[in-house]
Amino acid sequence: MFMWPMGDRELIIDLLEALTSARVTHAFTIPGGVRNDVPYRFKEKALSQIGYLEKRLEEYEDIFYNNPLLRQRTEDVGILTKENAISLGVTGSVLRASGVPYDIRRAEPYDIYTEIDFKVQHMNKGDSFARSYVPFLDMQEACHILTQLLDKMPESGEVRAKLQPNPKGPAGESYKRVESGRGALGYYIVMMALQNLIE
Amino acid sequence: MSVGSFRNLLALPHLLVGSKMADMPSIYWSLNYWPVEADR
Repeated sequence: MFMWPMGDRELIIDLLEALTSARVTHAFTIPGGVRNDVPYRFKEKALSQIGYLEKRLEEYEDIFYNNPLLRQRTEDVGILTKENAISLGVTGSVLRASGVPYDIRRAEPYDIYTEIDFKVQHMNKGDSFARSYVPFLDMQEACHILTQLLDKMPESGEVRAKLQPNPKGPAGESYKRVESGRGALGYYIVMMALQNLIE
Repeated sequence: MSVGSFRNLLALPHLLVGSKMADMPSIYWSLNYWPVEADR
């Protein structure tokens, strides 16, 4: 079972390689936009791969998540209640598996997420099974989101704004966070007066 | 910088108290901990 996703992973890596010329470390998103435009017929290829992955996810659910052995070893094990999840400050799928439907993309929308229709997937039990199943639900939702994003992608236009090197600005501080694969990913940035960005 | 792996690992001691030794792997892996991310 564990080798099958490795094969399907290649489909995603192929897309990323076509887009960025790199398989794993892409360095594609840069200040001002992205490094290059998408290659010819990228949208059609990506939609086809997403359709295939959606079908494969259904198979994985049957084989892995409906496996009686897995359920026996994970259900009612390591229960994290809603109250404890909030007080311990956990985030992402671990928090959502404890019955807290919190997703930064919904709570503090950024980029294009205000225009995207998606569900905040969550479960109520807070056990090990719920914590492993919520990422699976997130993958299904990601396919749904990607399809919408590809449909909204403009046919032409600039992909990168030119910025001055060594950005400078008024003194101040800022904290911004996004929803990543494992929950909240936050950056705290401090700008000193007339100096470069320090962190 | 704040990352999910590091924050979620803080729940591990709480979850392990009173659990069976045999349940430790499933509890640990269910937290979706990735050391490379936590190290950032």
